[in-house]
Amino acid sequence: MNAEPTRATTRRGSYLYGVTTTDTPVPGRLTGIEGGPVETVDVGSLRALVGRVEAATLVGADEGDRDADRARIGRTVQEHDAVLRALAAAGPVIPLRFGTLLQEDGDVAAFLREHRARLSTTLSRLEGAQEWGVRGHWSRAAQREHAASTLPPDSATSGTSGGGAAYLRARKRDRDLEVHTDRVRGAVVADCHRRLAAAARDATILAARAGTHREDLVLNGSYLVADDATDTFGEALRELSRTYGGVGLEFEATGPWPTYSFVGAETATGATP
Amino acid sequence: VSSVSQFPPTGLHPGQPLGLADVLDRVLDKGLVVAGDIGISLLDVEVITIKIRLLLCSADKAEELGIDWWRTDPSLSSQASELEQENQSLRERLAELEERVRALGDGQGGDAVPAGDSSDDGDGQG
Repeated sequence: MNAEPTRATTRRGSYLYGVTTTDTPVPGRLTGIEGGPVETVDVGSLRALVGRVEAATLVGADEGDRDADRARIGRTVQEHDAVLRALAAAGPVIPLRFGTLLQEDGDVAAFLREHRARLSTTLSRLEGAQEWGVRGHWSRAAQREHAASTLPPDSATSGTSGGGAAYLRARKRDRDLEVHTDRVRGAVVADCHRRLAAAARDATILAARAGTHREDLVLNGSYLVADDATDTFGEALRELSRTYGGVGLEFEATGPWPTYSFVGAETATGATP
Repeated sequence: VSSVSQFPPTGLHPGQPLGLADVLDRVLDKGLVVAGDIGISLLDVEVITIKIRLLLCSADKAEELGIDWWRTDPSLSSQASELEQENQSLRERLAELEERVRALGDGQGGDAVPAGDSSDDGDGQG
């Protein structure tokens, strides 16, 4: 790594937490990153939540202590989340990607103006709904056991006794079972996601990441659930648990989350027609 | 034993740390990205997020975030090499981005404003 810090990380900018509507009440004394005040910038019916943040606060300077940097990120990530969480209880919020720092004072208003139509559409899609996460954990051994019960018996195994042939047949059956297990797991997970999605306004599968998720993670879904459908969604989840709990597939629900996963990846670029 | 007999779950208490998986799944991985907007200058957000990923992907230090459950799970240690690979490719990407940031800074006295747009009018759009 470079010894000298990049100039960029020493500069301050307008930190953009998220975008909501002017109808959404902002809690009094709302504080953001490093306890700094959260201000609002309104354009039409859109309201941006903004703080003044130094780029170095987000990542630390290059020569900084990496452990201290990590600890700082841990805090700022939670502070970012907390601002969105406080707003999400009151109205629809579009979370911005963590670390969005605009350079000029006028940039926040320019951003709202440029993307007014799309931001408004997204906000109406999020109105009256919250994001819930569902993870499914299913060990490979339990999957295999479940799959074995539906693998058709090999007709050639009956009435023979040759040692070598029996060994080869056993090997083949093992291979067949592995393939069958993958197929069965795929069908079960698809069924779970479909049934949860049916109770939700929108649904998406999040990335499964080695090292940060349990190895037996088979479903990492996120669901945009209308507030008046929360009970229906919970019932769908319990129903899944009843259906698949017996074969070792366990579910874990998290939320409600600010609607991180349902705001699209990127704003339209400047090249929009 | 299923943890979903109660739904909605009790949820996070204020101040309770988020898990590393949750942080990566949502706070750092999702959310609207401001990119390529004419007339809006970003402070090197890609550099920022990649640096954060580098820091977080150093799994031996993830407990700094208050996240160490994976440490006691032996099934996860076998995945360290995958993590190492991701880390390596992030390092390369970061080096490339830092090079670009430096080039911008050198060429424009430290201001990474979009080239070819010297006037600052935010009114002529939309």
